[in-house]
Amino acid sequence: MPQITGDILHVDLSNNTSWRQPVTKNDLLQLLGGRGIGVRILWDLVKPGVDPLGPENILIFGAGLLSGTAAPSSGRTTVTCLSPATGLYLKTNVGGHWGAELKYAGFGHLVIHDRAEKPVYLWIDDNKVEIRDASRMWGLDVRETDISVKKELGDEDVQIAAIGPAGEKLVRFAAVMFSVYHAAGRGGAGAVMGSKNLKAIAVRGSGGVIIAKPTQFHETVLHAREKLLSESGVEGLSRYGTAGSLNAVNEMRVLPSYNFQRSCVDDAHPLSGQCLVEAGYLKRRVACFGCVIGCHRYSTVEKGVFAGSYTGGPEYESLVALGSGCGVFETEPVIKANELCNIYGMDTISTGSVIQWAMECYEKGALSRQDLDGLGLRWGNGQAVVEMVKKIALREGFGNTLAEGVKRAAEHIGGDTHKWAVEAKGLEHSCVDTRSAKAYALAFAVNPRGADHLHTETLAEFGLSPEARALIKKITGDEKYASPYLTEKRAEIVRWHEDCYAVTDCLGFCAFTSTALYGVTPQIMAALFSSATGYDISEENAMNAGRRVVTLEKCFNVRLGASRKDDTLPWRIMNEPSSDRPDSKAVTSEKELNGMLDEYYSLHGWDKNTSWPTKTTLIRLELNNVAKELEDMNKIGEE
Amino acid sequence: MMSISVRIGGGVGGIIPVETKNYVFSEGTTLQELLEKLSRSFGQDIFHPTVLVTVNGGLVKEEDRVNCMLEEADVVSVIRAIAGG
Amino acid sequence: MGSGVIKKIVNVIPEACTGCRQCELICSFEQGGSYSPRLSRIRLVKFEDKCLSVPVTCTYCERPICEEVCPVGAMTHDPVTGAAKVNEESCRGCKECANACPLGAIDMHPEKGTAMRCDLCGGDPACVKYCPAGALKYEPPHHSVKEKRRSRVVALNLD
Repeated sequence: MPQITGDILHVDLSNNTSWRQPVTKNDLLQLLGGRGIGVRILWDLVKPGVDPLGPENILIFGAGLLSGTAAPSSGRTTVTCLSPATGLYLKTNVGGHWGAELKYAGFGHLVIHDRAEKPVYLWIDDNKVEIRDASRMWGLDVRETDISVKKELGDEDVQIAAIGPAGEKLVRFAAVMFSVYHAAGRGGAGAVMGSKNLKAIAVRGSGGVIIAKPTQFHETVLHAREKLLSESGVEGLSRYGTAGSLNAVNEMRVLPSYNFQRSCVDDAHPLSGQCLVEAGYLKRRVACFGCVIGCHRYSTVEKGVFAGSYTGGPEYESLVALGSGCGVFETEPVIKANELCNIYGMDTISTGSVIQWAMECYEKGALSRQDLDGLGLRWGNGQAVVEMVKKIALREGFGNTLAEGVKRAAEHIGGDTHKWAVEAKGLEHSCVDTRSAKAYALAFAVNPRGADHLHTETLAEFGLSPEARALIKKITGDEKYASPYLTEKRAEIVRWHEDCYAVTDCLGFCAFTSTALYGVTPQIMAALFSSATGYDISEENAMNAGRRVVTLEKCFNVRLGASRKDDTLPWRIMNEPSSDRPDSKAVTSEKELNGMLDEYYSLHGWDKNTSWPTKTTLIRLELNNVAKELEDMNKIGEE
Repeated sequence: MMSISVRIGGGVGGIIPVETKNYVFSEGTTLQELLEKLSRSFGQDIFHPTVLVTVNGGLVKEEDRVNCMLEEADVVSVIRAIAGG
Repeated sequence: MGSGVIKKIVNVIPEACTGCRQCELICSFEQGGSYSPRLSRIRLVKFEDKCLSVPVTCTYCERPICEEVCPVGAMTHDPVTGAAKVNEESCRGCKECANACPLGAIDMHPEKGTAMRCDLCGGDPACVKYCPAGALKYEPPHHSVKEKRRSRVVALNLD
């Protein structure tokens, strides 16, 4: 096997055993690595009936195939498990530096089985695997944990993935934090880790990654670097970070504000990447492993009520979820709230979303000040947002209800509150206004993990750059389809992005290199896979492997009982336009969504009534055993 | 004559936050004409491919600006667009 | 050896470093054909809770301490270019050089057991070429000092 793949390391926490399993050549060619191998393992080991917070759930960490190499921005890792938020498939992807270290230790994947009796942390030191006592660390925040483990192991350079109090308390959107500030945020993987009593995973790798055809590989790496760095959007992303687009989003009147009640405000500048730089909150630009862009931030607050706050970020999603979504248009409370999410170990998107829901409940009288433990949770009250973040992480007072996620919280409070619980499948909707961006709307609806953009990132539909417009033309045949208001050709656009995004994740590339900027193309990814492993694959093979990964993810959900009715959007998105876009077309109606879904399922070879993949489709993708299992359960799509 | 608000910024023309400026144009002014007038104050940067232009929140692509007739109280935004997520 | 031999060195601008590790990857690839930061002659010092990274590499002492302490004369430099050399035949792996270097710029090869030194890639340092953040420059040593003097004066905002 090519050395670059790394073995799969299995660890059983119930009996302190570990064993290595090589990746087969077949799996490598069929599923490429990272997320692809992860879904295969999850399919094999997690059957229907497993409790996401019980010992039978499996927690998988998959470094990208190319993680550890100089391929630009290829150091990302995918965490895979059954989600406590949705009860469905979860993959959540993260940057930082941990994945490369795992590769240097000789492993590509880590699979955690069962649970430990008492809090433990895992120490992987090259090929030595130790399960160590973490009872003194239980209760520490992520940053304290990182410092504590590094001190105990006597090495400041070990890479650590850890949970904070939120994961320990099984907050349904708790994150696993990597390299302190990088979040595998969505879907509650942190709670799964907490349910296993696993506080942290420390890795040290003194080896390297060996390439099958090094000269060829390195040449392609340098070419990919140059191509990426010559894109029109790189400088902006590098200088201003992900929130560099926030003002533009506001001008396009798609900036989610006040829980999606509004989509344009007079002054969004304090939440922008430009403000972080100009007002001096940004101390440093930060890069993930091997990244030539460096969009991550390190921000501090030096004066005022939140003086002393310091944290990685804030990113676009966090600034919207904890900022404009809550009616807060000040930088400092958002930096503070983001810091708390990071160190408590919680997803900023879900945290923001659930607080927004509570704010609207308060506004509409569904919740009283007393219900909210005396907290004046009014729109724009940044101090209250910060307080509520703490209460959620620690499950204190009303925070305990919110810690269940917006879907369950709305079910609990009842009445009309579900109408402003902006979620689908149980995952809080991320910060793109899918009422006015139709490819995004379709993508959010079909995403197996729930309503967000990180299955596809169909930014190209806005046609904001020459590269984006060229891509839309390539996919649909005409640049005119680079318009977010059209429902035509959305199925084709989503499909291309699903496939490309899957290949991206499997190899460890950042989605910004292939679906927001376009320098790392599927062709380049196929070439790098080929020279890295010595197994030649074409661009078509690579995209087909991506297709296979996406389909297997869908099958995992089908096996759990998911069907077309789950591929939907939040009530507000489908029924209420933003007050800044009152034109009647500014929702994604049931009719529009159904039209796009029909086309999407048809294009995929999935049964339009149930959304289930047909036998022909599965066999064409060489998922024969999956087809058999689904057929035996009567969950195969009709041709 | 009609009054048009122009919101400009995000790094365009050296302006970082978004500033609103009010202009008066003659009836029938197109978006392209407005941009050409603006470029005299804010430079050719206005026409850079990464600068996006919206009218009342709706994106107007380069090729459509010549035919886009403005109306009284329209809000035009001229702002740099960057990849986000 | 005295001044005048060393023409240019790899100069670090620590404030600009984003911690991407491309320098370590490129160096180890140039030196050994694999991506392995452990074998890189330029290493990052990291403080992850502060998102701080500082590259450290050989600063080309005018009177190299490592060359003085080597008991077998394995540490030398090219008399014309000044580029550092390790004679891997005679190097015994005694580690005196690594101990003596005040910067920690010398490490021992984990397999060969011999000392690893930055050789400036024969005059075109790969790390400098491929740093995406502009944190490394290949220039005469006094350039960074001049720049520092200037930028501090500029920061006084006298005009």
